Amino acid sequence: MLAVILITTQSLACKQPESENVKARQLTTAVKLPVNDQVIIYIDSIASKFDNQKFDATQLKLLTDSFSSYFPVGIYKDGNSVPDSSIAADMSISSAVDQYDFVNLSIPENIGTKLSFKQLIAHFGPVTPRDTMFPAPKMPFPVIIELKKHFPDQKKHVFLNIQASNNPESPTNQISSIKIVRSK
Amino acid sequence: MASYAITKINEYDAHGGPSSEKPGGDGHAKTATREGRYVINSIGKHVSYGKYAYWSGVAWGTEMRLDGDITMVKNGGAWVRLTDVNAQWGKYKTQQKQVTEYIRQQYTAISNSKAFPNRWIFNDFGHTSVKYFKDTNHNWKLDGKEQVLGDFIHTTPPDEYLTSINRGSQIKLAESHGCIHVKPLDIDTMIGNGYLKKGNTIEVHSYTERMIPVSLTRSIARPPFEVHFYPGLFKIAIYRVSVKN
Repeated sequence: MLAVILITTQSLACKQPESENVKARQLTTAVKLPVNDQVIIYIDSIASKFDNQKFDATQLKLLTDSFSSYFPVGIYKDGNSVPDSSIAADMSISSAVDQYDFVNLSIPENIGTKLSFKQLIAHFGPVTPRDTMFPAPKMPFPVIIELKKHFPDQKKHVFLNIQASNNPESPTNQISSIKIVRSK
Repeated sequence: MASYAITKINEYDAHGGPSSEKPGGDGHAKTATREGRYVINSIGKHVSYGKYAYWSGVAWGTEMRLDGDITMVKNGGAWVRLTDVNAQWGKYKTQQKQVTEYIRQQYTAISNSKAFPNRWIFNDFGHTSVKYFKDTNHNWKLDGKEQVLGDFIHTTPPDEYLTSINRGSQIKLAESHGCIHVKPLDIDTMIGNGYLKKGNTIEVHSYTERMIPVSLTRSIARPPFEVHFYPGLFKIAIYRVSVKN
């Protein structure tokens, strides 16, 4: 169901609606979904486009603005313009060969405690298993979800890097950031 | 008996443990931050010799380099293998390559860079920690049977990283194991302003408190500042202390 809605919303999210009917349909479709599902659609929308080098800050802003009526989200700017209760999106493109490009989403507690690994895994695929040879730190290292199977046609290596207060298996968790990363 | 007026002058974001115990992802329970009035005993880099002696067994910011496949750290002024730092890391003496590869992987996950780190950024307690004790005899000194609590005020590696790339305002503080998590620039400000200082009082309030009072009265206090943590509000409030007329 989410996949069907995702395709509908994705095709609408990045362009101006052509008519009021389309606008109304988009609103109806998205409004019916819980915030968690809407956030996953937003992440999916970014990740689906991020293997394209031409996806830039302007397009991220357009995409982010199109989702901002459904959940609190804004583009991060120096000077703390995004409210504490909103997701802050930020793009980092580096010319350094050893530095990955990424879109960082800082997730506030009100969303991060509800967004679950279970949902993310169900949508995007499994997390890369942790090397159990070494003990976990107090604050777990970021968890990786590879997107090769989710986006089989992508040419670049795109993955999710998720920082949370607990391991994915934990019954309660707080996801504090999700990065959509593109390797070079 | 003396009485002290305590007036709020500032506040900062802070995040304690859960209000009731639950399992932590590292196998250690997450507990509530303990309510009470305490006195600061020390401020500085924390090095763990106990259950966190792996990632926190090396001080934050310790220099690192590679010697072939071997991870080296500058410990006590001398370059040594990471696996020589303590008994916990010593278990991996014969697996130098795996240790180095794992550190590289985790650094990449934190920093999104394929480079090898030149500083230890894995210490669970960040670049500085504030430790405090229950001052049962009210002499502002750690003595007798008084002990430093395991609940510290500290930062976390992901928040330190965001700060290091000038993205400190993107930090969303995460729940702790019982300590008080604060933002790296905030802890520096609180130390720099003398709010967090050896001998100053820290008061941890109840999780049920739903408002930060502008003023309080205490019978035992010491000017000029007190730090009050409101775990249910995710805030630290700074109060100025003065003798009540």
